[in-house]
Amino acid sequence: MMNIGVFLKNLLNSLLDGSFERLRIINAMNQSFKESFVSGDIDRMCKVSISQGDPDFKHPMSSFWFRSGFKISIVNDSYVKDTEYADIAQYILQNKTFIRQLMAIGFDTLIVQGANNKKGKKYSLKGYANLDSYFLE
Amino acid sequence: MKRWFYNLLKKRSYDSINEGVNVVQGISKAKSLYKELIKIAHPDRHPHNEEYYKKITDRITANRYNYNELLKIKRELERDLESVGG
Repeated sequence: MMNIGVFLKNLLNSLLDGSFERLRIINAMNQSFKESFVSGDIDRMCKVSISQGDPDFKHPMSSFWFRSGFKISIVNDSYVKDTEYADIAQYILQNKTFIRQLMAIGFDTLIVQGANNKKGKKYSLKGYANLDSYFLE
Repeated sequence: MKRWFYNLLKKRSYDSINEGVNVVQGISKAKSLYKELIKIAHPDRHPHNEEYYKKITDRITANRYNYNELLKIKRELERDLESVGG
């Protein structure tokens, strides 16, 4: 059952974004991560959330910088290798459709990091979306 | 204001939700499926139809991070191998 804190956070998020779409994607992904972890398909428990984006990665559809980051946190992050961050990121960066969907709902930065050690990597979504002819910079 | 309210209530976008779940399933299952498929479809195992299986292995490699696409290829391969076997 959803507790009151989560409910209020979700309500605030949807009011700030003017849509529930971001929350629906994030909730669906978090549910799927949980199921994969519990069933033993992955050893790392991950969580998706909205975070601060990098102002250098901004594009015309970006939200406010403090809500433009799409963050995947690895909850059990002890002994995570650097390659694991990059490996997780590849599943998003190689999926052009999903990158465009994320950009269309205001995200500009993909962040993969450990929830406790705060190590990780960030990527510019526009750099992977093949929109070279659209962006003039 | 009207537009904002419309956006708030508009129908959920199943496409982006499905794609998000596809990413998670990719992270958890695509690596093993990729290894399985690349072994099954290796052109050396199909000397009678080497060119075709070369194309299939290229497709598998190009979609190694996309779980849904790998599943589609798996179904195609099973169909192909069944028709050859039958």
